Order: sequence, then structure tokens, then C-alpha cells
Amino acid sequence: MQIASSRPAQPGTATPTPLPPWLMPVRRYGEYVLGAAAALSILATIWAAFVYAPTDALQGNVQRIEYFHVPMAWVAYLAFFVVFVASILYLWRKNARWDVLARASAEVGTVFTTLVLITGSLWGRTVWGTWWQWDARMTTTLILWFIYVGYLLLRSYTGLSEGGARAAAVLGIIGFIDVPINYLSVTWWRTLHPSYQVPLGSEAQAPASVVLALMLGLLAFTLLYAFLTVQVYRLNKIQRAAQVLRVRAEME
Amino acid sequence: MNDNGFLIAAYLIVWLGLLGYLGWVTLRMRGVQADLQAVRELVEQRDQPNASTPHHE
Amino acid sequence: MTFRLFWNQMLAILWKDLRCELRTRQVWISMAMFALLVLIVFNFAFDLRVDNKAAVAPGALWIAFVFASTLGLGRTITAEQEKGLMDRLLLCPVDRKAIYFAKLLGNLVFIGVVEVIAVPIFAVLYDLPVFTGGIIPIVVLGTIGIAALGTIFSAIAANTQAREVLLPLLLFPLLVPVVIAAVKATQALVNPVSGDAPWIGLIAAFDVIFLSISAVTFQYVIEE
Repeated sequence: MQIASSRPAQPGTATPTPLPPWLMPVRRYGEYVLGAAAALSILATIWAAFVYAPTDALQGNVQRIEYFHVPMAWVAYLAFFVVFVASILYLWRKNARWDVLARASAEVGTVFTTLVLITGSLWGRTVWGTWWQWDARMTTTLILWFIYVGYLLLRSYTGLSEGGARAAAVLGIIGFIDVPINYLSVTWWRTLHPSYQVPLGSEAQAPASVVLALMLGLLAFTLLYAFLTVQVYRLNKIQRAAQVLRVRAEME
Repeated sequence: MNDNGFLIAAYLIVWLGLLGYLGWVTLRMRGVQADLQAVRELVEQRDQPNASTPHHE
Repeated sequence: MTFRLFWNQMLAILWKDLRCELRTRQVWISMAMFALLVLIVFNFAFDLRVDNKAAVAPGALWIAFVFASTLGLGRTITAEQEKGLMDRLLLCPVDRKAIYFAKLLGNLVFIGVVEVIAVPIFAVLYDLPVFTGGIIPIVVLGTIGIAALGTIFSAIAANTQAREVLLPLLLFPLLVPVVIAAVKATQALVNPVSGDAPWIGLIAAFDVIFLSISAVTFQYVIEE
């Protein structure tokens, strides 16, 4: 029933099972543009981070980690926000494309969160002297990482089943709403302990070039996120199409 | 300064990680496209004998 | 749907679940024994003495509660799914929210019994003045928080083959605010500190938010 509605029977066409329109190569043109824009802005960010931005007076060259650490953190949270919105839309509209988007965005977001945690740890080692500081931001990001690794595990366990997709959508909604509560609780928890506050970027009096390099990084990593998500989205769609065709072949 | 080592390590991890991920996505894409092609051929083979029937549903 | 009908449906499902569980008492006993074991293992793991007892013991209590809860929570939907009863229950004109609240109350009864046994033994074993009126709101609100998410996540994990492994994996990260707040509130009970954060309020807010979201989204998890 679902197959018939998604792909109406066309007796006149040359091939008996025409590919759905979203698999046609024409659609990929935009992806090349997006990929090229991401690559160019990333090159510009690398130049800005290592050449254009001044060396930090307090932290030295290590501060340059900020130009990809902070944008990646932003992209990770953006990715999980996309999962949240796509999950709501999937439960509401019951259109499988939102489910595919949520799945793709969660995967890319988890990759970025992993890199954020690693770079944050390396940065913290030099600035704070410890690999890990149980401060609110780092702890919340770590918990976030656990939530979305769990999300991806759930998805890999349930495969492409519709029940699994709905369950994952509910996890995508609850997981994201949990983030601010988590942040609040960890902040309150930390305030009772003596923790030394090191201004991370000292954004208030940062020179314009630092802000500009950060903005460039934000743009570059957002483009990279969009590019990767589109790729994984298409990957999941093809996977789905192959499965639908297989089921159909076995039915006959 | 030892700190530069941390910067280089962080930089390498980020880009090797992202490139590795991109490579993994490409590999999966190739595998799944081959899978789709195989299934399509299977469906075409099955559809050929009874192509005159309007639709199987 | 009138409230009365909703109430009757909920009680009917709850009563059915409780009767099933009363017939198989092993789970209740296993959960309580497990909670006690966690308390005892914690005592050795942290080498509790008089000076660090007040700081560590509340953590042991809540870890025991959370771990024991996951043992019981796993059974929320499993019994129905194994016998194919969920489909029949869904065929009835029952409000899905009634099913959620019935399951939630069932879990609350389950965990509550374990806690009623565990808290006095905790007070005795650790020799802490926690067995006062102040602990009741903390335990009640904290348990509601655990059960609110635990009920829906056991239904989510029941979609998979690996539900026993997946349930704690999905549940523990989300329960971090409840665990932090409950442990801190219990610590404040033993050793009051001035200017402490409103932990009870945080748990209450957590409960309200996730009870309402879970009640709304539960239907999507169980429907086939």
C-alpha cells in the first residue's frame, strides 16, 4: 500500500521500475555546490585561524583550537536541534523524510560532538592543566554525547522499521528537552564546589579579527554539517529504497 | 613550546576524524548503491514475464 | 472522553498488571535484594567512615534506587509483548494516555515497595538521620522522575531485541538531573547547607515536564 502511494504505477515508461525522482543525478548538482562552498570556507577558516587571527596573549597558539572547537560545538547543538524538530514533524506529519533527516542529523551531530569533546579535552589540558574539568558545559556535552550515541544504537537495533522510527523520534524529542535541564542541574551542582573559572575566549574584549575568524568558522562548519547531512540523508534514502524494492521483489 | 603539540594534535584529530567519517559515508554509499542496483535487477527480472498486468496490487 | 472513563480505564489496566505481578513475586524480591546489595557493595567500594559518610551515602542510596528501578522497569511492556497482548489492548477503545499512566503507576508501586524496604535499612546500615519526614518528598518526586521516563523508555527499548542492555543506556543519561538533584537534596537533609540550590523544585519541574511529554508521545511508541 505504501509502495503504491509513493510510486504510482507507470505502465508506459521504458523501465518497469523507474527510479524515484530523488535518486536522479540532476538533484546532486546542488550537493556539489554545497560541498565546494564548504571546502572553500573551511580553507578560509584554516587560513584565518592560523594566519589572520593574532596569537592569544595569555594562552599562546593553543587558543587557535577555539576556531574549530567552538564552531563544532555550535554545529553539534544545531544538529540535535534539527533532530528534535524533524522528530516532531515526523510524528505529526507521518512523512518518512523527516525520519530520514533526523537519523542523518543525529549521526553527523554525534561525530561533531565526539570531536568537540576531544579538542576540548586537549585545550583544557593546556589551559586548565587537566584533561577533564567537570564544569557545566563539558559535562552537559558529554551527557549529550551519551544520549545521541544511545539514539544511534536504538536506530541500529530497530533497523528501518516504522515502530523503531517512531520510538527514535520520541527519544529525539525527550533527549533534546533534557539538555537545558541537564545544564541547569550541572551548573547548580558545580557552584557548590570550588572551581576555578578561566575565561575561555575572553569574548568581551576580543579583537575584531578573532570574532571574524570565529564567524568564518561558524559558517564553514555549518556548511560542512549541511553537506554531510545531505550525504547521509541520501544514503539512508537509498537504503530505504533498496529495502522497499527487496520487500516488493519478495512479495511477488 | 610544548603547547603547540596540543594544537597540532587537536587539528589533526579533527581533520582526520572528519575525513575518516566522510570516507566511511562514501563507502556505505557505494555499498548501498550496489545493493540497490542488485535489487533493481532482481525486480526487473521478476517484472519482465508479467509486464502486461497493470499492477500487482 | 470524560475523566471518569479515563480513570476507570487506567485503574483496570493497573489492577490487571498488579495482579499479574503479585502472582510472580520473584521480581519484587529480586529488586529489593538488588537495592540492598548495591548499598552494601557501596560501603566496601568507598570505605565509608564517619567523616565521609554524609557526603557519599546519599549517592549510594540513589544509585541503588536507579539500578533497582531499571530491573523492574524492563517488565513494563515485556509481559504484554511476549504474549501478544499489547495488540489486543490497543484494539480496545482505550485512551493511550490511560495506558501510560497505568503503567507508570504500576512502576511507582513497584519501585515504592522497594524503597519502603530500602530506606529504613539504609538508615540503619549507614547510621544516618535520613529516616525523617524530609526524605518523603525527595523520594516521592525522585521516583516519579525515574518512573516517568523509565516507563516510556522501557516501551522504546521493547522495540528491540536488546531491551535489557538498551534501557539503562538510554535512560541513565536522561536521568542525570534527577540523580544530581535527589542526591544533593538528600545530602542537605543529612548535612544542611545554607544557600543551596532549589533541588526539590528542579525535580518537580523535571517531573512535570517529562510526565506531560511522555503522556503525549507514549501513543507513538506503542502503536504498531
